[in-house]
Amino acid sequence: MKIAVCLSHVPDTTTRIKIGSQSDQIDYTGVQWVINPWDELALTRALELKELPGSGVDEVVVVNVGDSIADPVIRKALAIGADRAVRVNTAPSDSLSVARILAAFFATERFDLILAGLESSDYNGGMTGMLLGGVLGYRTLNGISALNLEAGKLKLSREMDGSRQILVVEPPLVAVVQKGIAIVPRIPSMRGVMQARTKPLQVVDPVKVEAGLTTIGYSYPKPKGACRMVAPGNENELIALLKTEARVL
Amino acid sequence: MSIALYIQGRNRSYTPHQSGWVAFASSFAKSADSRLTLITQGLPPDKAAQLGGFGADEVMVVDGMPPVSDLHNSIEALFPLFKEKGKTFILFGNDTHSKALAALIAARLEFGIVTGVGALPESFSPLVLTRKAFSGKVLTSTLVGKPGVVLVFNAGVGEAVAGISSPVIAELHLNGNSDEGIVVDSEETGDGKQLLTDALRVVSGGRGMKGPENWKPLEELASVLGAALACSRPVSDEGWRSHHEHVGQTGKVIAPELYVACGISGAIQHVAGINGSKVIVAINKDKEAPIFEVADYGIVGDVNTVLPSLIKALKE
Ligand SMILES: Cc1cc2nc3c(=O)[nH]c(=O)nc-3n(C[C@H](O)[C@H](O)[C@H](O)COP(=O)(O)OP(=O)(O)OC[C@H]3O[C@@H](n4cnc5c(N)ncnc54)[C@H](O)[C@@H]3O)c2cc1C
Ligand SMILES: Nc1ncnc2c1ncn2[C@@H]1O[C@H](COP(=O)(O)O)[C@@H](O)[C@H]1O
Repeated sequence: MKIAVCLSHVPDTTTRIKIGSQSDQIDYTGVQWVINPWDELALTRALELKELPGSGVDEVVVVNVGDSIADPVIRKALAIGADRAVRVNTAPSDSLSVARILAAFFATERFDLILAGLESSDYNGGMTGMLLGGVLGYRTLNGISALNLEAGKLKLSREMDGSRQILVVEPPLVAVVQKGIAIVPRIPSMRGVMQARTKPLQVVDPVKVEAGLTTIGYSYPKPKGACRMVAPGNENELIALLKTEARVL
Repeated sequence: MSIALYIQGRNRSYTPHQSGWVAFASSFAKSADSRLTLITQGLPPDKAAQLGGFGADEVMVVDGMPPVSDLHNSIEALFPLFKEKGKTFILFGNDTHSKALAALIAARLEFGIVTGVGALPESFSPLVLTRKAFSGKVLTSTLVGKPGVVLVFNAGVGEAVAGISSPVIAELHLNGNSDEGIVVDSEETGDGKQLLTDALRVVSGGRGMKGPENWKPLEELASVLGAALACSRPVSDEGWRSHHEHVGQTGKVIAPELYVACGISGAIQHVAGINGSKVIVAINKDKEAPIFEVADYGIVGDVNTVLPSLIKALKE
């Protein structure tokens, strides 16, 4: 069995996001790039599965759509334990385009299980994984909070709003993972970092896709009005404000 | 022009967020001078009609359908309906099932897809939508180049007013294939308790609560307010509270009318999960805590004294 983890590279969540002088792009100078947190967890689970005795998982491969800015992040995934990496060489645009580019790659190399994260912490789109499944025509499920292997099939837990199903699914599957899939993300070991230098990072050309969406401008949100302070001991006043001013009580 | 909104009912009824989505979709349709068709699944016709009354012109009450986790066949069954009723916009709320269908229909129709929609478009022709990105640090304007788009609404949008429209109701039985490669091994359908993501009021505790033994006042406050409980990530990581209560970038994203943050510093990853709330109240002993930058009302004080007097005042 072969597992692919779709990996997006995102600015560290604590980074300040600066809009460029033309206000039609983000100024990424000095930004610290990291593996999207969900993808880190997906990778962690994929590696845990591979290490189970008799798992039958031959390879865990990370796949990224990105330009060379993503390379250090991809190396980190290799250091964490991925066997190899593929980078489809183009700056990502809207999620349907990224999904199509990924799908074109997955048409050239078959994986039994493709993992994607709930959403990326940059554009918070949360659609790429499902779109990929749609374009590829593989079985596709979101809301996956637990993933196991059972006799060549995938046993997963799917959380919907207020209910949960345990499903047994025949590969190939695209699974969009969320909270619960792994508890703590793995971090690279010294040995892992050394090994990562020689692991294959294959750079492939993208197919041409026509972007349906374009980001034409960025702005900062209006600063929120000042917080109205109530002195401790005056909880009555807070309640009155919530009733008459905010009208939420 | 035609606009369709899809809603899957919950426990054969609908939630306040779902009625908000109908109201919001209706303002979309009005601004676009278009009719709104509500497509419901999992709702009895009377409930579907009620839900439609929040602003739809027409309601298609769908039943039958492939199993919920058989998403491809679900889309296969719904496809003709979306194609006919949603030529310009196909709208969804942001629950798990809706998001899955949104992506699959967009992929199938080759429509652009924009999620996180919380406001009417800046303009309809050309279609330009504003949404938050980078966990709310910036706003982006997205131009949709060609007609035909799938939008996913945020929770908490729309001013729902019951009975403002009297939609035409049509019932539709859809069959579909079902995929034998997906087998349901077991199913839990929840305990009927209010879901955190549905709740209109939420009381939340952070590390400032100091330990799980101190949750009593939060539980009491939640019970007087009829609120659900939430917590920051360290609280669920430490096992003080269940993981289901964790809100934020890596937890649940919620948009209640009232969010009360107790002993929570307001880290960006926490705020990413709650900044859709209508009103945020913060109780924190540190007046410099970043939570006060996003809060509407604040009390600088110790939770151990503020919470009991807040509960007492509320009960009076
Ligand atoms: C990739 C990533 C993802 C993350 N995702 C999330 C997420 O989804 N959700 C989330 O919450 N966090 C998340 N975090 C963690 C986040 O950065 C913060 O560490 C966390 O939110 C802090 O939790 P807290 O406010 O409860 O604790 P603290 O930061 O320790 O704050 C405790 C607060 O309580 C106050 N306090 C202490 N005692 C009292 C008292 N007696 N009375 C009143 N106030 C008191 C203090 O002044 C302080 O402000 C994430 C971090 C990373 C790196
Ligand atoms: N550029 C990319 N390359 C590879 N995978 C991606 C990329 N962008 C998004 N993904 C995958 O899709 C998930 C959801 O991202 P998004 O739809 O951008 O919120 C991520 O967690 C990744 O698994």
